[in-house]
Amino acid sequence: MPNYKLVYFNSKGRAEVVRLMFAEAGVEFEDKRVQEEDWPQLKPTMPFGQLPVLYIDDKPPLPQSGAIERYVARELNFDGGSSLAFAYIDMVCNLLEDVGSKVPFMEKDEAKKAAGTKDALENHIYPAFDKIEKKFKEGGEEFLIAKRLTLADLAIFHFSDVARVIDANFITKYPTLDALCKRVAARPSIKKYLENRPKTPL
Amino acid sequence: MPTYKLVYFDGRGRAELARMLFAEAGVKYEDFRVKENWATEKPKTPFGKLPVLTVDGGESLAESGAIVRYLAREFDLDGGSSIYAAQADMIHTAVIDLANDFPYFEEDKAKLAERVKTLEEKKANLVFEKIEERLKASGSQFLVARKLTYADIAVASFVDAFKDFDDSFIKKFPCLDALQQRIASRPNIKKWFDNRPKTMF
Repeated sequence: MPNYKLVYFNSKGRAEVVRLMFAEAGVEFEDKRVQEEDWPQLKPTMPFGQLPVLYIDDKPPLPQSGAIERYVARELNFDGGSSLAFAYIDMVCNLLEDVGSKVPFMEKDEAKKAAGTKDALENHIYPAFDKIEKKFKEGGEEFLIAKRLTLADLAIFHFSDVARVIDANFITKYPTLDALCKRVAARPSIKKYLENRPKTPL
Repeated sequence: MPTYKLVYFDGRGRAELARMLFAEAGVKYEDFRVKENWATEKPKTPFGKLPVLTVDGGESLAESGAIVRYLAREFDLDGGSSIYAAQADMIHTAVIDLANDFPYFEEDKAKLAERVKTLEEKKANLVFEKIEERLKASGSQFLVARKLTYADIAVASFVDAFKDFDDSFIKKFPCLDALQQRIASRPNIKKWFDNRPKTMF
């Protein structure tokens, strides 16, 4: 097993799905969390000046959370077992990224932030989840894709976790997805990880 | 070879990179363009958006990133190993992230110029500097794995699209400029560029 080091801020954000994969797979990794005050000095040394970044043995560091997620999913068998299955998993993750990015988390003007958040929820997030819920319910499967736990299930779980910040009862609107998230959280390795991880809102 | 159908609007936009992959790989596909009938087509899509790819008439695959990565793998344009695929992925993702900020529909010329400048100063210059450094240091003709991958084609596609906004941007990055010219003059890509429908976006 290679040596993995994941560098990110002290939050869930764009690193958490990768951390969940390592936890579920029982793979050790260095979970390096950069403090805000140390970031300005570290930033220019990062491949694209951003975090997260994944170090794998002595290979050049890999930036871009999407690329990291997809690489780790493949290495640790969270990719559904075929290219086509992985494409649908990729689609779900992209969709979550797409609708999630519409939430103006960084907006300083409170009124603008509230309006932007409402717009993101009503015009992007809820419609997307309506469709995912419908399809998942109709399919009657335990997991979203390929009849096994994949990156897609973990991505939905993480999204539902963070979405509580903008809608406290978010996932309860989607009973089948809610049940999936509960099943994910109850898996022994994930349960242990969730109990022990640093508590941060986002 | 499976039957492929790619559905998008009548434009380059978020489908063009996939079309360039089909062209480079020499793979036939139905290049379906939605013109007036979006209202009837929209509910047929998984998430109300385009592009969408179907393979052998199967379940529709949405999200341009997922489509590009799937095709790149199928056509052996992803570098051939998971670490190379990850490197191509990171470059493609960084470049596409910039394309998401293209002010396609900005009509006010002054605002347009300002938005393009902001995009360059805040994001595009840094990303392209880093990719330029990487290419220069590698001494290779290609960005990843010392052979053609979708990362090279993504850079060429970006430059092609960004020409509409600033056609001198790429001149700041001589290695990448040379790369995108090499890609654009590959026979299959050149043929596609010469023959594709001429569209506004």
